[in-house]
Amino acid sequence: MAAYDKEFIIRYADNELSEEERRQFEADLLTDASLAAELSLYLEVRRVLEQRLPPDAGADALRSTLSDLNKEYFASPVRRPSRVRWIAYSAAAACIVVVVGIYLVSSGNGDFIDRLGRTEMVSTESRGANADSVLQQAAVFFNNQQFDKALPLLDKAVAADSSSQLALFYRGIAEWHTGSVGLARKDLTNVYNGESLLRYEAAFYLSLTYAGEKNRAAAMEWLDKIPAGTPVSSRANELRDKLK
Amino acid sequence: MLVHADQRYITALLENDQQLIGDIYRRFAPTIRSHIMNHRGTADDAADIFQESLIDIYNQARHNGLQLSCPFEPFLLLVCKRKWLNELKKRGHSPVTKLLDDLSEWGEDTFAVAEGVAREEDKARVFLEQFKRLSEKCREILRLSLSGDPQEKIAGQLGVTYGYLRKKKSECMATLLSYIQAQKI
Repeated sequence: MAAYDKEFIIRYADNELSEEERRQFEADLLTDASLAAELSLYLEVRRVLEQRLPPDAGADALRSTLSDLNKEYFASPVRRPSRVRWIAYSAAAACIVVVVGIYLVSSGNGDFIDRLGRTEMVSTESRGANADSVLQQAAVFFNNQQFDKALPLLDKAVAADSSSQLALFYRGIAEWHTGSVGLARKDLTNVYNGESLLRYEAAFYLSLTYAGEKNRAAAMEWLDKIPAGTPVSSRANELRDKLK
Repeated sequence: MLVHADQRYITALLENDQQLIGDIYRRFAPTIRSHIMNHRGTADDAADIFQESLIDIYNQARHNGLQLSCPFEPFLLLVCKRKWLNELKKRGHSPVTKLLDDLSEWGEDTFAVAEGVAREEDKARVFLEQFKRLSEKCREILRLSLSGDPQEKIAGQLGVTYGYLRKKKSECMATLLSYIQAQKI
């Protein structure tokens, strides 16, 4: 690189050189890639500092909004209630958090799969949005094990938001409970193929659908998709032990 | 370039539209939390990554006019995943494998936009971190010099001559460039 120090490069970029100095510098710039790179870095640093150093009220306001939402959506790990609960808090901004609870009703031999899984939809807070209201109504039937009544509502929730992994997941389970195993597998497989929090729960239920048909190989195949350390891993191990 | 309808989420961040930002959380936060908690993170880690990714996207939209040519969800996922990968590396969890193996499924366009945001924000972060290492005097001189106000006015504010301000500004900026170059970004 030609013998220019950083301060000289900065003075060039800031238009503080004499005409003669500028001409010589620009001539060297044409043939000196290192010099050009150093100038480019300075221009980039200057641009970023010009943008980021002044106070940004918009960013501050956004951070405040995000902090509030973080408390709502990331405050605690997924809970697994031990019984049916319906908790309605009065907060205005809210979401549905659905938690799965599974009860091993009997550890006896035989047809234990039929009695293995009971799921709960637990709403921590109420929300005005239509799709969520439908989910809440579905949850009432679902938690009373009235899956045939929950299904139309879950269909409605899926129709309102086809990307809703919650609705797909619970519709899959409701379909399983009402004997529509093929449809159940389709919904649960979609959830598993997505990236939602429920994907390993979906794998677990897919395993259950096969275990219910005494298709041990397929059941084990789905269990094997559940890594250690997920919210459903311990229950998957329990089922794996049963299948063995 | 055709702007995707999900640009509305970017606009929501720029305008602090609480309803639509709430929608971003409702739709996408569970996925990010799941991903991070399945890759050695905690719920707090997930919250930080999610928030900082949204701030990065805001910054790129505000300062560089970011426009989405792809759906928001895979774009946000990639920004978050890349940020978490970097965090894991910082924490010494290496080698980190398979975290980004699924990039191909999102499409080159989404990947390119997400990488662009991440790269620009990484650089900006380094610049600002190194800026903080400067002396208080240097930080003040640069802050004022880059404010857009006339240099003569700034010299008056600082109680120095215009010539001294120019010289000092170049010195401070040169020091900053040295710090940045030492980071080998």
